Amino acid sequence: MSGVIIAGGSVAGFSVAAGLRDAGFSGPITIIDPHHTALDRPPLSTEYLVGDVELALAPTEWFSDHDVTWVQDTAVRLGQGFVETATQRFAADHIVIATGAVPKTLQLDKPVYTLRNIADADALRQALSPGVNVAIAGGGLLAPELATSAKALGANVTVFTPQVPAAEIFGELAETLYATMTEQVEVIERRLTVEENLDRFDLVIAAVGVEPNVAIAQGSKLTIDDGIVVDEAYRTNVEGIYAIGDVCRIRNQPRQDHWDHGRASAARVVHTIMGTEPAAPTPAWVWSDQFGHDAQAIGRVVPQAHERLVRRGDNVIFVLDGEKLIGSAALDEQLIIRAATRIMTRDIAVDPAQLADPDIPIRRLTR
Amino acid sequence: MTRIDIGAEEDFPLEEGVYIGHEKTGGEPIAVFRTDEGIYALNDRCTHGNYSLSEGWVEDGTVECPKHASSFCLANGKVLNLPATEDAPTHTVEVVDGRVLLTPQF
Ligand SMILES: Cc1cc2nc3c(=O)[nH]c(=O)nc-3n(C[C@H](O)[C@H](O)[C@H](O)COP(=O)(O)OP(=O)(O)OC[C@H]3O[C@@H](n4cnc5c(N)ncnc54)[C@H](O)[C@@H]3O)c2cc1C
Repeated sequence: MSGVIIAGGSVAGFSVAAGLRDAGFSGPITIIDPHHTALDRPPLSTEYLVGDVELALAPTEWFSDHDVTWVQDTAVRLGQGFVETATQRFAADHIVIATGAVPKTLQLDKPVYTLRNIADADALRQALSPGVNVAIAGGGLLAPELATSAKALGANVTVFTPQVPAAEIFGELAETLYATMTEQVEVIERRLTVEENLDRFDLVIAAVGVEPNVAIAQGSKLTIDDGIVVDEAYRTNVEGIYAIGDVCRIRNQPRQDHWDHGRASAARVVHTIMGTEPAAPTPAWVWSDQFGHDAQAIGRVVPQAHERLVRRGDNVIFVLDGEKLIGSAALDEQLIIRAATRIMTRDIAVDPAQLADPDIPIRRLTR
Repeated sequence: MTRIDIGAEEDFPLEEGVYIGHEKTGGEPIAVFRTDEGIYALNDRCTHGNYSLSEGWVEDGTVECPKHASSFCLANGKVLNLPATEDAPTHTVEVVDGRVLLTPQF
């Protein structure tokens, strides 16, 4: 059986290797990544920043047990059937690009930190000593997560955000999260720019979004347009080359940069390589831990004109199109999201009155 | 290894997890699950992080962690999907004369 080379070994790249072995793929699998092993990223802003937590996606023996070769290096070039690092050339029938994203930053007269890798987190941990004055800029999930951790480390935190963070992800529950944040730290409702007087801050953390890490594809025949452009099966325009996770963008769709997309896109590529029928795509699932809340969302939770918003208590919302569930968001109600995932993937018709009634166990609506 | 009486069978609702704390298990907390197929016990803590499998979603002989959705086989603890990659330790549990008896394997 022909081999697979994967450039980038975080959740997306690692999931391809794990998924292929699970599916019985017996050819050689090589992962190229500059890190020493496969590392997960979401804990960097939360558990890792304030304490200690295992970031490895698998114990080291996993790689020998599953006959997956880890090459600690950076891939610099690729084309049909090959990938090169500065010193080595690898050949394979299938090439998967999973190089992720790199944070955008801000040019200011202050030290500006970003967070993507373990080294960034270690540097931040050093910088966030008690009493330090930190400005955090950003309007997504990361800024409130960082604010939570920075506060826990004893820093004086100010968040600059141009909008209610992650409103498109958590819908109206984003307002609740925002209210919690404003109770806990100083929040300034505008974009942080060079015009801002930053005298009172010791450092700035930019959590202002990411750019797809397409360096490896520069100069290749691959189409790049806000990410490596792929079809719905994550195939690029070059035969045998796939791009998944944060680095890719499905043609005519917005780019997705969330953990579950890395996992789901990897699963899709495994089916293509194995020649098996893919399961129906699962709706996008995102979570965020901030200021003591576990926020999760599945699907789309901002209703469009013909759709309807259904509330179940203060911390759960659903969006329905007739009897069809389009999405759900929940604060500290994890089973709601587990249930909503099943209702959506199994296409179960739901009654809005039942969804809205907290006395009806959600599990009953999944059958 | 001691066998501990952890309650009557009807105190363990079908398709749900029940948390058994360390004061009872004498080691780590254990999650006990009763389904139509049988009764099962795993370490309560998800092998991916500090989340409680007893609060997870039980279905088709598996439990899905409520936090990041890793699933584990109830019968043998085998992890079925990321982010967890390590199997959940299992324990012996049985129903004898309507009582649920747990033998932790620490
Ligand atoms: C601090 C932080 C918190 C987050 N929190 C959440 C959250 O709460 N919920 C959520 O859903 N998502 C969260 N995310 C987003 C999530 O982590 C990403 O969507 C996910 O990591 C994307 O996975 P990926 O494998 O595509 O890319 P990445 O995780 O970026 O991994 C890319 C890998 O490729 C390697 N690489 C890069 N260039 C090369 C090269 N040229 N050759 C070889 N290897 C290369 C890198 O070293 C890296 O290991 C968070 C991200 C961060 C940084």
